[in-house]
Amino acid sequence: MARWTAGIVALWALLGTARAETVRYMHPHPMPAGVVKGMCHIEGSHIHSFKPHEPLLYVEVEGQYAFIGDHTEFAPEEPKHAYYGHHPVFWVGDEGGEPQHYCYITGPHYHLYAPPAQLKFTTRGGAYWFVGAHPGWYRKRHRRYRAVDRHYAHVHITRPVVTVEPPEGFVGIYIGPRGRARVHGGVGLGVHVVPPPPGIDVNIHLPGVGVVFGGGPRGRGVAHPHPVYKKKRGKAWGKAWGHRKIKVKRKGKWK
Amino acid sequence: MPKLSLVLLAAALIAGCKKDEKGAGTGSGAPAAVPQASHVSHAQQVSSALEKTGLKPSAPFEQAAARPYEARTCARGEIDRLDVLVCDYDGEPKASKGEQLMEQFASGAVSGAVRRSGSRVLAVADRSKVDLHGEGINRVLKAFAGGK
Repeated sequence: MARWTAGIVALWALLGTARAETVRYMHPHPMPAGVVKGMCHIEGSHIHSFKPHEPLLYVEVEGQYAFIGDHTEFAPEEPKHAYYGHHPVFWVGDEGGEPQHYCYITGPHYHLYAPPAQLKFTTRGGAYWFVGAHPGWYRKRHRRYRAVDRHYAHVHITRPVVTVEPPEGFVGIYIGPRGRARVHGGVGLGVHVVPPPPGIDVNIHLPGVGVVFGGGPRGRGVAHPHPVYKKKRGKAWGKAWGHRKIKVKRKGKWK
Repeated sequence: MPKLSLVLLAAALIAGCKKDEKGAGTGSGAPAAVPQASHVSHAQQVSSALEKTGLKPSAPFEQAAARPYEARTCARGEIDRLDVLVCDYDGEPKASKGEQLMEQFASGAVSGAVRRSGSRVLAVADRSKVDLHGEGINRVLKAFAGGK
């Protein structure tokens, strides 16, 4: 009878846990503002009872969410490494294998990790630049991930200041020290655009002709055919979570 | 007669549940810890193994139900107020399967993780929201992985 009782108790416990939501994550990621401000520091695979706060900034790999955005939006005080332009997301996937995901943040930004030696990154102006060849799926997925730039245009983050010319081999949009941007590499030579430093009132207008990575008409691999950095009049965009004073109710008290 | 048997069955179930509640841990979603004299040595072994890696259990490890995780033996305790379950398996293939089963232990908690080291699997869950940034969980996982 005792065994039977224990079995029923175990079954009840299992059914109880089945109702709770289990979401799988890998590596550190931002915590939802409603839970706590800052990052989750668990390395490797782990689970939480909540879904990603901003799915756009995550990729899903084997049922696990991995954060690929700029973590300084949520935790400005965390360690960081400066990057410039698009690059492979090397911290997701098999170690030593070909990266299967890309970071599509245009211009200077930060990540938690420094790049591994086997990938073609070069350091210039205090930032890492990817100077290797982009994979075949790079352009196709870029269309899907353009919203990433829109996201970062609407939050206030402190970007690394990079005022040097891009290194040889870099393909992407380069924003010069005076705020002039141009497409570097590919065939889009000398196309100057108004830059999009985050938090500043500017518009970016890239002409549809020739602003491509590796050639092609408008609509096929065009870097930014439409203005992506829009700013309405008035104050700067809302503060990033890492800069907000978010109060969380814990043990009946607001902290 | 059938009514009498039903009443007896219900009484037995209630008695059984009350008995289990005494041995239950803090977790809401995991099977209860059932202290047994014959398995205390295993719980102590787990406790001392964790201490060797630099982790100090804040609550003593006790024998826990192993059947839900298809393990040979399990011990459950607390480290820095985190709910920790350590199960031993007969070989790595079984431990690999048990790794998936032990996710049930962490589900329901705000954060949790499962790691395998040989034929031993550790699950850690933050049920009381004391480690929202995951630093404590990460320390437990690292210590467990380092103390193979």
